[in-house]
Amino acid sequence: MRIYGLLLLILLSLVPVRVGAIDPENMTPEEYTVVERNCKSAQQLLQRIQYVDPVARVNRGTAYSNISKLMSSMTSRAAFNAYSLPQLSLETESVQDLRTEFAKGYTDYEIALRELINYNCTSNPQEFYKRLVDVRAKRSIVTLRVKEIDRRLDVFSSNITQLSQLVQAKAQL
Amino acid sequence: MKPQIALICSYILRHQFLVAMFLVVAITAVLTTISMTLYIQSGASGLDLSRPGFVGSRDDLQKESSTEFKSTGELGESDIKTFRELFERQRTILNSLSDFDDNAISDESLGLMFGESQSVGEQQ
Repeated sequence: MRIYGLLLLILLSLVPVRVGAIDPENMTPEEYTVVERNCKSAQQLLQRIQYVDPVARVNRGTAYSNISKLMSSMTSRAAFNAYSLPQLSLETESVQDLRTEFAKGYTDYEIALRELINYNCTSNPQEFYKRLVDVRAKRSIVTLRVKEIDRRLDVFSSNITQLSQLVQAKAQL
Repeated sequence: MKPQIALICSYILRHQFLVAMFLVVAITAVLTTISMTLYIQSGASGLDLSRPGFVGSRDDLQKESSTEFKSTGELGESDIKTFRELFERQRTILNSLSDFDDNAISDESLGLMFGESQSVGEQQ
C-alpha cells in the first residue's frame, strides 16, 4: 500500500504545474489577439500592484523580525529555566530560515514583475504572457512561504501552551 | 609607441587640472553605476518606499511596537502571559496583511478575458 502511495507521489511530481489559465507555448490566434489588445492595460494594473506589494512586504518583514526575536528570547528563557522543550528551538530556527526564503522569494518575484511591466508587450504578446505565468509562479512561492511561516507559528504557539503547563506544574510542587 | 606615450604624458602634465576633473567624473560615474546595479539587482529598490510614487504608501507602514521580552531570568505564569500578548499582537498584524495571493494577478483581474473573446468570436 505504501509503495502505491509512493508511486502516486512520483507520478504527481512529474505532472507539470500549469499556473496560467492558458498555455503560453500553445496560444490560439484568438488568445494571442486578446493578450495583444489588453496587455497595455494589464501592465497598468500590474504597476498598481507594484506600488501596493512593497508595503505588505516591509510590514511583514518587520512583524517577522519582531516575532522571531520574541521566539528566540522565549526559547533561551525556557532553556535558562531548565524546561526541556526542543520543539521551541526547532520552530524558532525554522521560522528564521523561512524568513530568509520569504525575502529571497519576494526579491525574485519583484524583479520578474518589474521586467514584465517594462516589457514591450505589443511586440511579442506570447512572450509577455509567458513572463506573466512566471511572475504568478514566483508570487505563489511567496504565498507558500507566508503560509508555511503561519503554520510554524501555530506550532510554536501550541508549544507555549505545553510550556505553560510545565510552569504551572512546577509552581504547584 | 614610446613617442606616443611621451606625448600623452606631456599632455597630462600640461593639463593636470582638466585631467584630474575628467578622472573624478569618470570614477564617480563608474561607482554610481555599480551601486545602482547592486541597488536594483539586490531587490532593495523594490522595498525602498522613499522613492517617488510611494508617498501615500508610507502612511500604511506599521508603526514600531515594543517587543521586549527578556531572554534570561525566572519564568513564571505572568511571563508566559506577557509573552502571549506580545506574540499575538504580532500575529494580528500579520493576519491583517496581504499574503500575496494569486487572485490579484489572475487573467480576470488583469482584464485578459479569453473565454469571453472566444465566445464573441464564435458568435461572429
